[in-house]
Amino acid sequence: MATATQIDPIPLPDAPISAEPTDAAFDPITFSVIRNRFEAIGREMTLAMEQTAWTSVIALARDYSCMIYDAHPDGPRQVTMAECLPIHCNSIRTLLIEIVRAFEGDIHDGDVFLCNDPYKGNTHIPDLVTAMPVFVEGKHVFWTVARGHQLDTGAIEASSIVPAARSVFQEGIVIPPLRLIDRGVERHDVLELYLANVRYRDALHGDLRAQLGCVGVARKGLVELCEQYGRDEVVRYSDGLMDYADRRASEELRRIPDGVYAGLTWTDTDGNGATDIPVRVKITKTGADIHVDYGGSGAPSTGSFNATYAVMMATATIPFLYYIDSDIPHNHGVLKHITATADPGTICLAEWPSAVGGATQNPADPMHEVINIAMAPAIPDRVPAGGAHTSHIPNFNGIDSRTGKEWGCMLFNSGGGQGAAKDADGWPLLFTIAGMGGLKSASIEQIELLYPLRVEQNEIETDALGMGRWIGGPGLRTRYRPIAGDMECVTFGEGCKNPPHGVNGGTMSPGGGIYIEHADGRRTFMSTAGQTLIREGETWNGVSVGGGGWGNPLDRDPERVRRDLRDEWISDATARDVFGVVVRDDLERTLDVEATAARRAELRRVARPALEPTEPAAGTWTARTMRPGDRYLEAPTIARDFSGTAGRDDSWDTA
Amino acid sequence: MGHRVGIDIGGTFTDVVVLGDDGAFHIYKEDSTPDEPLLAITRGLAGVAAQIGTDVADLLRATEFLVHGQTMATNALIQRRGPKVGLLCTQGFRDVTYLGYGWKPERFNIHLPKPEDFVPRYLRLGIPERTAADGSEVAPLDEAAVRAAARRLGAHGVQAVAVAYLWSIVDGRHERRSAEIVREELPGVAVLCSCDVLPEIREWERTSATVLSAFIAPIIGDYLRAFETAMQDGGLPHAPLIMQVNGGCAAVPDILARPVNAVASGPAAGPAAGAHYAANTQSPDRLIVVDMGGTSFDVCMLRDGEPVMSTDIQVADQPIGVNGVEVLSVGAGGGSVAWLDSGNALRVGPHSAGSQPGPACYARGGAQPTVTDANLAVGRMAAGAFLGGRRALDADLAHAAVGTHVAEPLNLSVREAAAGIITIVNANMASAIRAVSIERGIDPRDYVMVAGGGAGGLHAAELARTLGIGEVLIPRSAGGLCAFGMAVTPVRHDSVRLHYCHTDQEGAAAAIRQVFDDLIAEGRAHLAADGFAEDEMRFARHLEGRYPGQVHNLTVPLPDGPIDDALLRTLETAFHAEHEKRFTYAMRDQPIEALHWRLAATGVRAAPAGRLQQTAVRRSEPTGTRRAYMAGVNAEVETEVYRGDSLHPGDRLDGPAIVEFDTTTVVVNPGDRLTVQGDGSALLTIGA
Repeated sequence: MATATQIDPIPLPDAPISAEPTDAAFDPITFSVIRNRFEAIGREMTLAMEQTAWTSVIALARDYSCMIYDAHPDGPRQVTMAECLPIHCNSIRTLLIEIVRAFEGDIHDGDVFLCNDPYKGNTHIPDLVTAMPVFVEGKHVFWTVARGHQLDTGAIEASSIVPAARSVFQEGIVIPPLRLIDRGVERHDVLELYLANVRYRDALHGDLRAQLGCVGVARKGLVELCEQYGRDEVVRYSDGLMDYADRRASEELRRIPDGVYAGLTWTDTDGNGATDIPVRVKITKTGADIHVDYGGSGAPSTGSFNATYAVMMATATIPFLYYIDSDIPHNHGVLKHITATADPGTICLAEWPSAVGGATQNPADPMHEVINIAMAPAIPDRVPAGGAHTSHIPNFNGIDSRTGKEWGCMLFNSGGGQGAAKDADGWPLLFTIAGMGGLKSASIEQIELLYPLRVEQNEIETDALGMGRWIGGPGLRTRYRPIAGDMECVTFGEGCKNPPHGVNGGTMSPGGGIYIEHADGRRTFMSTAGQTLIREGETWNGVSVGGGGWGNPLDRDPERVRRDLRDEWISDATARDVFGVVVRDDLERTLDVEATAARRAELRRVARPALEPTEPAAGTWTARTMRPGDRYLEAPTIARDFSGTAGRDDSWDTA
Repeated sequence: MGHRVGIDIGGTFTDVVVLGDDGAFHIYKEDSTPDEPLLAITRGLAGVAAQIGTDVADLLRATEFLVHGQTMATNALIQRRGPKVGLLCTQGFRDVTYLGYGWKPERFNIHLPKPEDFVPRYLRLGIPERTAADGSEVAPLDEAAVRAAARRLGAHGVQAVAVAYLWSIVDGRHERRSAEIVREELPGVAVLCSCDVLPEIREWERTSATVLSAFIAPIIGDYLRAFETAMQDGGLPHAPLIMQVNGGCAAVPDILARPVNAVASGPAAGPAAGAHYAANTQSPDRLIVVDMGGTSFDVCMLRDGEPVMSTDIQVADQPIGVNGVEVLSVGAGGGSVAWLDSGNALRVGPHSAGSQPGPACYARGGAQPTVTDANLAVGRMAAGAFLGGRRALDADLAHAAVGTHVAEPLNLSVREAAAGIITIVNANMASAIRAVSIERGIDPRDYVMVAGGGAGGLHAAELARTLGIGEVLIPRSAGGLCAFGMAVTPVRHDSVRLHYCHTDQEGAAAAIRQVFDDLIAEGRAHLAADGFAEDEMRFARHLEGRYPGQVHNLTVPLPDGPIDDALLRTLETAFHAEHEKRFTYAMRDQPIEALHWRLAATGVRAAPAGRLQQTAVRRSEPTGTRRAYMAGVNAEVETEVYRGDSLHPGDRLDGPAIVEFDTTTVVVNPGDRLTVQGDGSALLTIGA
């Protein structure tokens, strides 16, 4: 069958647009000024989007990114990107190429194009792209691009991501490259076609206006820049910026030893019943070039946890951007060094018409993590331990019994922690490469003001993290209670059964999980992707996944361990048995230096593995936490009758 | 009437400014004495008194307002040097200050450690208690637990305790009762409640404001009381006032009730100074006030006569929560270092050579080239004119530094490299101004720039040209802009009430009226106690709200007049207009979801207009000429150089020209014109 999966490999242009790429041709002062201006325009786009967007997904969680691309004849190349979310990095070039292919010779000043098609180079359907060509003196020289996660796509369920979707047709309206604005005039019929296919049309119209405003702001900035320095000069300096980033990145990449590096990890679920699916990578590093091959990975999901080409490019690229100096601009001069492949028809590269809605979290999280697993032996000081994947982001909705009004929200307050890295303990709430600290959570009082639920706890859980010379960001214990009627909860994500890895002798994270506590004290545990009902009198409880540890715990500064214990990040047993630190039971928990030295010497006789876990389903949290009388449900769903009322399976025989 | 005195302590200098009741102006800069700040103040007062021809006691006796901007509070936070502080919080929420909003800057820097907490976790104790959003009590306060927690904190030796519970803003009784218990258990320990320090929704900001207040309370308490005593013993007939982050000042007891108001307060005096000086410019109520010193470039805005405020100010990576003058500070100053990165691109800042070792030309061992070295190398500054000639600069060292570190590696001449450094630092500063104007929907071309700071006059006109700004005012007191702002700033008390409603709901107007009746009654009593008459009181009312379901808030002023349905309709219209201006669109069929109602109660007594004292009767003639780089035309030109104190009101100089004042040098680019104002300030007309 002819499918739309096949994205032709496009030759990456190496020749810059201008004929004279040598450094001597650039005035170093103008170079720095133009570089600043490009970055400032990127920031301006980002701010315009955040402040004008309507939905919390964009305005608060900042699930969007803004970019400037050039109009190179061999395909647009990234000039600058103001990252809100790393997953959007290096994942849009193919989409722009598809727009150019669709409208070759018919692209005009004042046009704006839309596209969300995951089989035309997009990440997944919720990410709507607006792209505006920038013409100066009649010549198309740049693209300004914004990509924002839409609250709804018109999918089979009222969620932008439907884990159990069976095909792309159940995931909402697919928009191939489409002209929304024609030489400055909005095509109302096209706009209406889009808005007629989504829920919350006013809010989505608001977000779309924000996205259109944002690409317009950048276009204006670029036109002004060209007026000031001359169009061809600005383009020439843009090429120079790529050479500059290329030069700096190459120097750093060359320092990584050449070789072939392999890694293996597992994703908890395919969203539709299959578990512990392998994600494999083989990285070939030659000179300054990196090729990432996900060949040999597991079978595709029958649900929506499948990667797209764009997601594969992003996951392959992101780790290498934080292995090198983060000051190097993320433009094409860097990105061109990284190529990626996967076997079509595996979880790492979906074939049309597979559903791909979950792509940016699962398998993106394990596809990202497996690169750190593979590269750790080559550059241990540059590579972090595993971090929490997307998980513990409950989407609650219901009908407020006091007002009869529908409500819904998505909460980021209960997520996991970042992996440890050399010289830095992990940060909290930095779950998933989609975010890496770019997602903001909301104030608890704001949540309680707006929605009929009470937050009863949101605190660090003791021992819920990977231990090491540097420790992972903590797992958090969070409890939500509905206070005006029942509420439905949809969650997606994974990384609880297969928790973040420890590296260079650090321990893996114990994992985490979710359970509903019933009024009678019994508890229903569930996998982190699923749908369930929480009745009044019950609570949603999550213990999120802490990050993995980096380096041998016996090398952690004992004073830090003393403080970790004093502050109840870790237990006495962990301090003694994992860190080898003995602390007295006095007021300030003072360090027993001699006992610590002896304990550490004793523990050092057993070597720590360079990497753990090396087996699937290694998480210990669920087994440790479940009590007799509790039950566990894999990927639960809610039964609905035709009136739309949801009901829950309260039989306990599945336990 | 009497004198107005402003005392501003900076990292390098302590500035004392006196504005006489006749408009006479004096400034004295004294080296700061960080370990004993009062010493520099005493010396500075003696210095300025001598300048006036009087003594300190007579000067203080004749002083009507004395306002002090201190940096102890900010420094204690930035250096994290302060007392052990405890926190009582709602059980289950010990980690509010640690978690923040889960945001991380520099996302691709995985080696960046998270900043330390001001209260370590073992001193953050959860108390069983809970209030709901509607004010109902979900769980009563466990007084025994509070007592036990207080004893535990006492055993650990805390010197201050913050109490911050969820929803204390709708019912503060649990917090207040807890504070009573802690005071019983720990006499002499400062105890602060979040519902008093910052009665606003958003628990992170409120808890942080309370914790920071507790952290600095013991430090500034001792200092401010000593300062107060010193001034009153010295002859000041009334209590001195202290500068606040909200742009106004208040008495010492007010500051100690909410110490966080004293954080980041120095630069907040910028708008008051700008407003005073700009009275005779094209747009006196639309100002961009910039202050370029040795290490940083601070920008703030005055819009429709009011400073642009923000509730998102952070110090030492923590939110201060309170509404303050929004000052954007970037690492661009005279001491900013020029360097080449690993790709051989020329960068300037953000790190600074500071005052030790300082720029290469200070000859204190600094080898790296700075902006000051660049200005010296291309003739914009003279080696002998710095600080009125009190500090000689070494032009050879400046040349050598620029040559070795920039010019040679880039194959440029020293003068080209120096000009490049100036161009780049100008671009960095222009970006900062864009960030607070264009990126907020404000067109800087409608604004006048007021430029202070030692380095302000060198760069201001070039920034203005880049941004299309038509007029730049370099105040006579440019070198002590914030001290001057303190001398002329009003007394100000901010208060806020959380009252959640939709502006179109039944009975909204009556409820809002009641909110402001209460707030204004409090504000009036407060100002009366400060000694202000009714006709000197001003009450500015603001709404902080959003469209229902929206995330970000917008603050707009309430129109004048009694609060009724008609006024709310006008308010809605104003909200829509502001939303459209700032965010490109409005939703005119929507009501406003109101959150906070804010009152600024100010006591205003008009300050005299400045008047230039002629210190020397000389003709306005140049002292010489030299070749100087002019960024406005990107060329070196032969330039006439004038002494600032030789100029007279009404004098006009067409660029290129350089005017050397004691505390700043003003570069007039070709095409621009400098006009000397009645108070001795320099007004630059760009592209005249």
